[in-house]
Amino acid sequence: MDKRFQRVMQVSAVAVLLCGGARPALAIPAFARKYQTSCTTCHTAWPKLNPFGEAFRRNGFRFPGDDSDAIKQQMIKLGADAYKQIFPRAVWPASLTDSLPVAIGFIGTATGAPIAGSSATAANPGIEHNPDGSPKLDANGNPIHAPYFSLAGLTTEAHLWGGGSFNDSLSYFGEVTFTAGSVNIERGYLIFDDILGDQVAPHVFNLLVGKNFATMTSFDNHSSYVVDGYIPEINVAPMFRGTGSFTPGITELDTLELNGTVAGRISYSLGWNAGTNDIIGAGPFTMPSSDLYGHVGFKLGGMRLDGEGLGQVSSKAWEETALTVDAFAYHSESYYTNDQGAPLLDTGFTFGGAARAQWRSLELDVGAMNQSHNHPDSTGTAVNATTAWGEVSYVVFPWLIPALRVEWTRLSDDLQIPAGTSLARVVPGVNFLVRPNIRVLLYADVERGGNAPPGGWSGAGGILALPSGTAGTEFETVSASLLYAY
Amino acid sequence: MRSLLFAALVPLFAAATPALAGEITGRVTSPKGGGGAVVYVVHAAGQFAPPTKPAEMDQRKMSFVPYILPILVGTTVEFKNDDQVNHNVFTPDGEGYNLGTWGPGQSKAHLFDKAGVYTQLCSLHPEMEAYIVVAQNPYFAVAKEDGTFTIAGVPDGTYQLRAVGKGIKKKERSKDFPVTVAGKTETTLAY
Repeated sequence: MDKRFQRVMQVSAVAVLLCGGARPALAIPAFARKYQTSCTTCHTAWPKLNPFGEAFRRNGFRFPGDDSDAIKQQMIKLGADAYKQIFPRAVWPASLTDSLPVAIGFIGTATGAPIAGSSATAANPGIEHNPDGSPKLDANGNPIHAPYFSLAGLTTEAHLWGGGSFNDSLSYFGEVTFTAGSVNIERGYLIFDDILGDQVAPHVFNLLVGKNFATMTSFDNHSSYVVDGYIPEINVAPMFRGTGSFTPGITELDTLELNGTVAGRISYSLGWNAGTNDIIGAGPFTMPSSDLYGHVGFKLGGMRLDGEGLGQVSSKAWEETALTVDAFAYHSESYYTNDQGAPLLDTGFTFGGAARAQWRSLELDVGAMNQSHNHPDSTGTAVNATTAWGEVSYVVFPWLIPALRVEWTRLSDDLQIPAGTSLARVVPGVNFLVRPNIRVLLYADVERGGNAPPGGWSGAGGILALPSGTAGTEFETVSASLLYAY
Repeated sequence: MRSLLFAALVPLFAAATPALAGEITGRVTSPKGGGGAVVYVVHAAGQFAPPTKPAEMDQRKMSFVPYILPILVGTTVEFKNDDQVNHNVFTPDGEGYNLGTWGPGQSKAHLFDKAGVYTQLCSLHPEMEAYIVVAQNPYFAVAKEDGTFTIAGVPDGTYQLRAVGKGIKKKERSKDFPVTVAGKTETTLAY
């Protein structure tokens, strides 16, 4: 196999996994049981949240007003409320639901590559083989790739979610993902709500402690109808053959995060992570890493960010007319290995903005960000990635939601890649909510690129792998995702 | 003055309620029980003035309260919102209506001027459901937990009874149970 062929296979496999395989979710039927309400009280096509669901999430998974008033599930008291009056001579009371607040779900994607010779068909099962197992070659000695469709992957992940509140000022959330051969704690955190008291400044100061994705905008990071991340998952390290996995807004961190909403119209977050990252080189080494991030957002019109008051008056839970604007920044320090296997400090800085304009059932999301790293790979080359994205969606019926997303990334560095190295992905998709807790997503992936980084486009969710110095457009994949939880 | 008022009311009362007023007692039975079901006389002769005071249906803890509300045709129902979240009220039944969405502490009123069974739904919280039974006459009752009921003041005659309740399927709501009232009459509505 030539090197390009090998690389294409690797890149395609990773990209398919990134595009369709990994769809962690925030939907959690444990909340449906707790409040005895439908998934669609908070979600459109889960895990995408509607305005009320976003407010519920921002409030630390609490209903507006007194959350305990909305709970219908039987609660077990871990101490009578009156113990608050004699604190610190008693442990602050809390309560638990009478059944385990856990939900389970299964998520996966079946993928097909309909166009022979596309980059996507360069991965199995698109590779044609001779009876002896060797790849079939054309007259020019290149491997022959054929269209394929495979149901393999339709059930790739199992998720366990847990969420709730111990009282009106302390809530929790957890998510564990099981895939073949691995278990990943994606989230597990406590939120100390209204740390200055709900009378002084309700919803203004919440402290999140634990493992979570950094809060980079006013919206949940699964706030897209066709891809996993609201902010595109642009991971520069693998695109430059680096070993890191840092992706702002997507990589989960053990974090301390202060967040909240001010006057119901301004949201913010400020987070800090002091961790470690393992690197393979002359070591292996475990080196310190740190992340500092924050965002500020403003919402005009529609439901308040904290869901309090009248706000939304539409009879459709997903509808509002509003404009939300966010700005964010992310500073990271982590270590990679250089060509000699020694630790090399990479300092990354990302800044950007996003906006959501919604007019009734029509929603438009746009955003842009710039990500720079001084040493993201083994060569020590500085890299810059500029990304812009947009997504438009329309809720035709509450069970039928088409969407179109475009993501564009341009890379530049000091040494390796030519100018104009860019990738544009166009992802049209249609969501079918078969039941409030069962979602089917059909989507396609069309890509246009000029040149490619040395590690391919998988770090930008891309499959396209064209020979160096060429540009082109390819219809890569059609996919069907099945998501259900109970 | 009192005697004058009494004299004026007697003919009115006599017109609305024939001299021989009976009583229907009975029980609603179904595999899921008949407690809470509304039992009503489908049609009775006469004109019946609706109450001037509105009936109430609350939205509390993300539920309609009560689950079934029987009213006389021409009654206005005030829909309250005692939650801290917005609520909506609409029905797909009869002529259909959507009263819109309103916030905590607010309410909306709707006049029910046609007899029928109206499902009450909230478009923001799809699990919420209730029924308003708009009866043509005032001869209806809400069954006790054990399914027993009493409809008082029913003029002697032959009627059809129907019931709406949690244990009664939608297709069974139009099932008529004939009853002949002659004084105190007992019957069973078995689903």
